[in-house]
Amino acid sequence: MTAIADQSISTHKQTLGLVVAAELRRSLAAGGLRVTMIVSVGIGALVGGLYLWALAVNGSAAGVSESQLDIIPIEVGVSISALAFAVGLIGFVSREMADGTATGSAIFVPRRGRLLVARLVSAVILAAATTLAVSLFIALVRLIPGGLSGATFGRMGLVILVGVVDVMIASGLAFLVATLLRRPALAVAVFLLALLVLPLILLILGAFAPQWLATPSKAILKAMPGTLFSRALSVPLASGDGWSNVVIGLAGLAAWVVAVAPFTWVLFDKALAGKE
Amino acid sequence: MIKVDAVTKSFGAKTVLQGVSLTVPDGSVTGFVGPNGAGKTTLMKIIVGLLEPQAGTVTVDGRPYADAPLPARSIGALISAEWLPGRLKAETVLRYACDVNRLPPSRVGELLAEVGLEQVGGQRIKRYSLGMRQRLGLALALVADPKNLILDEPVNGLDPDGVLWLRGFLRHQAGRGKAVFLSSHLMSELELVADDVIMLSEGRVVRQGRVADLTSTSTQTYVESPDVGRLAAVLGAHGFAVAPQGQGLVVTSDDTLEIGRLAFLEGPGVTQLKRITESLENLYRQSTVGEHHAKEL
Repeated sequence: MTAIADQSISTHKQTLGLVVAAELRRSLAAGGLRVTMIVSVGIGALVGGLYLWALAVNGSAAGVSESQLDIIPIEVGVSISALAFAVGLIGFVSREMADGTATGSAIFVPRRGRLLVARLVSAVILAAATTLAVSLFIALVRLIPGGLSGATFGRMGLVILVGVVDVMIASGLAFLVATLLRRPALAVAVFLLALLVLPLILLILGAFAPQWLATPSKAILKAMPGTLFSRALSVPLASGDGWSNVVIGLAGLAAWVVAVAPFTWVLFDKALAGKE
Repeated sequence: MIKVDAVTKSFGAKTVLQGVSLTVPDGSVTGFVGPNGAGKTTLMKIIVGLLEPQAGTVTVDGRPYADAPLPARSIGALISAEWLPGRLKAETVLRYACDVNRLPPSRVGELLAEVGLEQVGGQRIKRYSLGMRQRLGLALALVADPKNLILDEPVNGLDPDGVLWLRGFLRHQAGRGKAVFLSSHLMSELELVADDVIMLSEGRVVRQGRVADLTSTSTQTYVESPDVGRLAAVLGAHGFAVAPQGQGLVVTSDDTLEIGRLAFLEGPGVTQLKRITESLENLYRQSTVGEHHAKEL
């Protein structure tokens, strides 16, 4: 039973950065988000790469422009990758809330705000890293045969930047929802319902329902997180096109984060106490 | 030192703690006893900030736990071994605890060795027995060599060797000046290891003090003699109330010196003479008998 060596005990305070780094390391350990990240990058890169190949092969016949070749495959790859990552992230975060991991962390990080923000930042950083990996792979596939031109580089840089920001905000929302719901099966079900099933129903209602129902359905569909995510990932294909879709999409997603965060904060505090 | 002052906690209409005040001094093991549901775990959660009390304050070395610059230096806590995630390796869980407290990764190996898990540190926790989880929980509590230890039912799941090891471990930690706060519903176990004891029943402290003082409060003496009948007559003649028990007598007096003197001067002598001490369990029953009786009514 040896005591810790005095010189190995730091006299510094616990900081947000310290907790973020610890959360990142644990998330990347076995049993964490490592597999989710590998799968997300793999699927995103594969789909984006195939899409690029399909466009390039059939491009001249279909009249595909250079800017479309630069932008759309990255948008497709990032979207698929983000979907896979979000499902994994939601399962992981809600599991950590349910199995006591978060409560155990709270004993070491008694300041709730610091712990919640650190966990959020860690999830967002991993989302950004996943998106960057997918985007850079697809960009590399595009650049190697085509060569590097200033315009291509600029367009890809923009779409990668927008994609990373979009996925970061969306992952932040996914993290907050998973922390709020706590049960992995429930959290994933709610996520898929909100992202796929509900938008599909609203889409059908918007197209086929009577006017009194179609109009609000279309409006709600526009405000759904999935729609906002896709809208944000609409980098203009030509320099004259506007950026309003990107701005509205990102702002809408950010509004969702702001709306959900207070509920997550209140329930995070309660959930950490565990069962009585 | 942990100081709890007039803490009250309710969950809905149910009051779990009612104005609980207690102090866990440095350099000693303080046992915290009470039946399941008495409020022990709730109070421990309040001390480490997992729960907020409705009233009262808790300070650890003079300030709230959350204000400690490096929290794990202030308190090491084992509240529940069930909070250890089975999907992670023991090394990963310990590494996190080291990381948030600015401790070097080498500390992980030291801790695993300290609790006897160095051979299985790379395994996922779901493969651990309850006793191994308790040891890992203790390693987590010790991560930054804290000044105060809070352990909720640490004996649960330990095998006999583990229980012996834990006793030595707790005494060692107290010997190093730490305040050790240990809850258990196994009072016989606490009697062996604790310096002080606090008894909790239905959310209130019903008795507290030094274990040695509390268990020596009995006013009875047990005595054996080659001629028990003659000894009973001698003691009775001097006003002592006696009753036969086993091979000897129970004398309603703690004056062992006088009993021995009479036995040798006027009686047949003694082969055994000892003051009867109360067990913590009996003391606890005595302390709560009124409440239990009222409940039954």
